[in-house]
Amino acid sequence: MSGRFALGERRLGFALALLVFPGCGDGAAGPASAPSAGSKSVVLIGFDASEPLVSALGSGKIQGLVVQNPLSMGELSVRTMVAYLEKQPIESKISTGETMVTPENMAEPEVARLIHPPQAENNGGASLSGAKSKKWRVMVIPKGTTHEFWKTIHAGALKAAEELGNVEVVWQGPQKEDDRVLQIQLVQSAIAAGVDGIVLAPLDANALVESVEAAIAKGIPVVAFDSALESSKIVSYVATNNYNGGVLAARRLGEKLGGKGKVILLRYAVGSASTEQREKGFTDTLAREFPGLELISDTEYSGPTSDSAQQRAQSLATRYRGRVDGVFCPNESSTDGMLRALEGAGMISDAK
Amino acid sequence: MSKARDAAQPAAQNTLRGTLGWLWTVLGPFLGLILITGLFAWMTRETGSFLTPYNWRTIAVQTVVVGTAALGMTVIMIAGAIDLSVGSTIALVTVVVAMLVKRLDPALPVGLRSAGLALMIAMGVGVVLGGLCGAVNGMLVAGLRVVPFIVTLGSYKVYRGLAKWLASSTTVYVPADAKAWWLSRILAPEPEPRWLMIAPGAWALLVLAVGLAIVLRYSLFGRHVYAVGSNEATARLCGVNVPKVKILVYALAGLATGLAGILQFIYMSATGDPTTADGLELKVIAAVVIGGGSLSGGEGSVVGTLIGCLIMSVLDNGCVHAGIPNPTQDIIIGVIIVAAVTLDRIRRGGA
Repeated sequence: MSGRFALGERRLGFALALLVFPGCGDGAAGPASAPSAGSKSVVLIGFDASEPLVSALGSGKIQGLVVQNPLSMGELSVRTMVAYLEKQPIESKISTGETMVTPENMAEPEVARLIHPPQAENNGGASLSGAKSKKWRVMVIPKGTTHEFWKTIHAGALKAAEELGNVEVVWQGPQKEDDRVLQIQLVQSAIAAGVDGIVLAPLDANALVESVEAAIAKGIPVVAFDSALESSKIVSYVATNNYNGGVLAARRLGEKLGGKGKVILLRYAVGSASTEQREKGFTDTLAREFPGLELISDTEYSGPTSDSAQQRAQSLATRYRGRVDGVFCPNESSTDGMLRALEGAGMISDAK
Repeated sequence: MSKARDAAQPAAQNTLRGTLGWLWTVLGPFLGLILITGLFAWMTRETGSFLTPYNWRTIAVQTVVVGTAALGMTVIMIAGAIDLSVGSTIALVTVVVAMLVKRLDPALPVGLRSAGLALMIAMGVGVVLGGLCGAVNGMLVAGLRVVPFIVTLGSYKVYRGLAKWLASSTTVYVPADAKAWWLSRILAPEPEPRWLMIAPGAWALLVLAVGLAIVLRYSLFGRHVYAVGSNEATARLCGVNVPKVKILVYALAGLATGLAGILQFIYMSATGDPTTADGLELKVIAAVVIGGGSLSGGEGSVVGTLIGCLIMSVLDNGCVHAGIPNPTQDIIIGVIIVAAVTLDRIRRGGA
């Protein structure tokens, strides 16, 4: 009785293993041994730099990271806002630059500065509770607070505040990442608190428009950064040229694959203008410059966290195991999730 | 029961005790609200931005969606049930309304388009859809005799899945020319005309709350809801049609959730977002519980729930004004939920 039960259980386990790791049923080694199913390592190109991504780049697991300059983005956003408040001339669109970092060039000092940027502490900066101690009080609203990218933005904003000396930065992100409603509430609270200016990375190019225009109607200017907003009333838009970031990624992938192979694009989230631009730059360049690269999946979305990204990436990795040559992920969390999924599936090696 | 013998004398006493008990359950949360408000006022005393009329109008607007959904949840929880599908229903409603407006609007004649007829029709459909979602929950609970927690855990996934499937997993935007002039006014912190004081959406919530309070307190249906929630077996023995009450309760709550979905749609500048309101049901349940509701049924009031909702949104808003970072906010809200319910239990135990 118990023997039969145990056998049944083992069968079930085997079937599960087949589901999770297809390919291990036909005599191939289990998931613990390094790349076996694909024979060669998948080329992973990501976006943004965090500690684990940079160390994966160092060991050759990631073949390229498009890196933005969040420090300068945070700094320029606040500087632009203050310049506007002081009635100085400003640009309506400011690009902060993007760089392709590879295992080969990551040691160069200029690149190293980009991938090891400073990060602000959780509660650095001024708060709305005290009286205004400087001439201007600016509220900076990121899309979230947990990505390292935002912590560097925060550091940049604080750097600008320190150097300018006449502005205090209030940093407040939505309680939950990827929640439009919470970000709208923050903009409304900023209006109610009577700040002098709002610096905002909109989670959605459309849904935030009304609350932003309500702020502007109340005489509070708004600078958008990182992601665009469908409004002509904002003071300025400070961002990476995201489209160009996608172009850089496609070219790097084409170069590493010798212009031939099957490619997956793991998208980030719907309505996030910055990542949609990167994805478009990537797919456009593939179509235009690399006819030999075939996009076999571009309909999956990673969702807001590394966790959700890893789940989605795991499914993708098992589905296309042995059939995919290159992957592009358009932000930090999707790259992180994909990296872990590819490692777990033994589809990536750390041979440089 | 010795009901017949004591009938004459305790009638008056019972009414008195009922009124006092009601006051008591409402007074507790109300004191909590005043305490929290005072605390934030003190923390922001240097700027004074928290206690401005504008900020309270903002808080009113920020309470509307949770408040409307919480009215429905109050009825469900009084009946001793629960609904975990609230957030998913709201997402489904925003998606369906946005898609309907997108399809309907171009087909209408110009005059009706500028008045926003497509929006009105779609929003009406949205409320009915919410009611349907609720009715399905109710029928499954009553028909399958599966505990509400599990039934609505299932529909929580199903409705969310439907929303994503209908929207092809993307956000549905309503074209700018289909947004009628009145749409953004419904939840504008500063209403037009000014004499409205608070946003029309907040008024709608208040009117709905008064209506529901009257139904719960004075109608036969209301008494049946309390009876089913207090003791289902007794209610059945007394001749209450328990399955019918349950289905009605869920359908009624579904209508409120549908309305909350429409308000969410308006709040997001007419956006249909299949991922919105994720986890909102927990916020709604927390608001009802803070307001004196009980997970075991038979307790809860409309006024208590509204105060519970206000406590939640004052916390959200106040933490921003006081510059409390996100992790601390989470901790504070968690502690307050447990503290509120514990105090409630102690008070009941002592009384």
